[in-house]
Amino acid sequence: MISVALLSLVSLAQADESSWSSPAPGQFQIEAYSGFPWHGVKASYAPNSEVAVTGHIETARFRRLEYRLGIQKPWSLSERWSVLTSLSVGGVNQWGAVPRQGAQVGAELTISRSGRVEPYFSLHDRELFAIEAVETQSAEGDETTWSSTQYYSRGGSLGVRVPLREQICLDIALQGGFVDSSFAIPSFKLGLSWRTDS
Amino acid sequence: MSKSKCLMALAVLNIGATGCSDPQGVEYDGVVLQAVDMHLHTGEWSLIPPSTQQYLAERFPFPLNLIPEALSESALSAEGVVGQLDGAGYDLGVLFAVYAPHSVGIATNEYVISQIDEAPNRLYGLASLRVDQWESDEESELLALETALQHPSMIGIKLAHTHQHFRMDDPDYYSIYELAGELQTPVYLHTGASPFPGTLTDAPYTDPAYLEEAITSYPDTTFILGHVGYNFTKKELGSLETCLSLAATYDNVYLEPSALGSSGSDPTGENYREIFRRVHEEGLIHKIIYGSDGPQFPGFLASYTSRTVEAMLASGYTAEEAQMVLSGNFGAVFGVDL
Repeated sequence: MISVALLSLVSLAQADESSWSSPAPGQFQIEAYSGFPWHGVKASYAPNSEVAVTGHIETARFRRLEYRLGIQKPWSLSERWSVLTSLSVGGVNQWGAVPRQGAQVGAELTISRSGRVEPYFSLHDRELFAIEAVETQSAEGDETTWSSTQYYSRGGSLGVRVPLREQICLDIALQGGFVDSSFAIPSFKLGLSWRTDS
Repeated sequence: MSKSKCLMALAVLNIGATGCSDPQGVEYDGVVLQAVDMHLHTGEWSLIPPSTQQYLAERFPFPLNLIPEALSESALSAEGVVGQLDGAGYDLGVLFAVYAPHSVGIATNEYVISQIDEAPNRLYGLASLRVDQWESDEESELLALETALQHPSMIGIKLAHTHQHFRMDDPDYYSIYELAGELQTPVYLHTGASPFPGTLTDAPYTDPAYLEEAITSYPDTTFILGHVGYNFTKKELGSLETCLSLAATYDNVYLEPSALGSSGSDPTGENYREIFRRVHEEGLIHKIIYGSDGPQFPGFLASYTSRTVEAMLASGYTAEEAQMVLSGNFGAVFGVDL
């Protein structure tokens, strides 16, 4: 039922077939998405055809906040297929029963096929260097020490982008993997992207 | 990704669907055995100290670890516990009252009784008492303990020296054992070093050798050595040999192997198999009472059961001997008809 509705939207759309994985030179692109458990906004701008700069902020159930700045570079494999490589630096703040805070660096690789419907598959690795307080209690008394622990968040996404208008695109994806070195229940997202004219 | 974590995630998603079936028993070497889990926990999230909340929440998969309150209280409720008993094939479970404000928090006798009363055919309980102001409160605490034990489903006493911060050989607390003997109600005692924040790791709080004076002083009191002295912080057998020696020497000493055989505490299962092998070798099968220390996380009871069955099979237990471990010894010690 959903796929029929999407196909109808696509047939109505006068979308071009340039890739939505990265903005074209001079373009600004922004995506807002929501799902389980992530909600976020990602903005990117391509000053030229070589690279784009990105800013990304997202939250998981409003208990974990991730923010990162990055650069991404598109690589054309053929007329339709392309690869996007990304590097980022940022931070994580998580509160509640399992608090986390620290700096995070990441890398991501996405392969996609441009067209009226744009399927994509991506893999990411983000390393968090968390600062943690360790409280040791003994008969002699309590002691607090600080330590750094490295956690990895690795996984993949399988999704599809559906251009609805020349400047608007729908993004649906399933995601799986690990967060902070622990198994994560598979997640999904529904996003909407908008971009400026080239 | 480990298989157990996949199963855990599936169990999380299926938590509401597992609580209605009848127990099917535990399959052992082609035979279905009746089973009782003598070590289960209940409680309220808000009464757990933050450090222990974190310890527990980290056992949930992302993103359930972000908001663990609802899931934990669901898992720790009578309905949640019975759901896990059903899923693992158990007839009965025993909920522990806990008074450990320094470590795992508080589950009052009254709260445990309220949970038992929600599933009176499936749940029993062990009562406990506060000892942190013992000098002034000893009499009132013993009276409260005795009152709780008047409930027909409260069948024993739970103590944990490492959590409650009192020495195993401190005679000031022997009045608890005296009361237990008078009431003919067994005493379960945590032995071995605990992984929880806020516990004491020194030998007088963890080494069951320090219990020997009390064991000999109160021959009418039954002492159940919980976790058979396992060192959870080092994931080593710890005081196992001391526990075996005490159980072999004294008629009033029993053993309980909960928690230590989990994938987190014994990743390879080698220590858990060694414990069952040594119990078999020492002729102490009639002295070991099964418990899991669940529910911990959804699916834990079933996981712990399969690891226990595997350990007993590897150690050559017959189906009759496995039946003693899984329920027979419990019935004999606690006087519960199965």
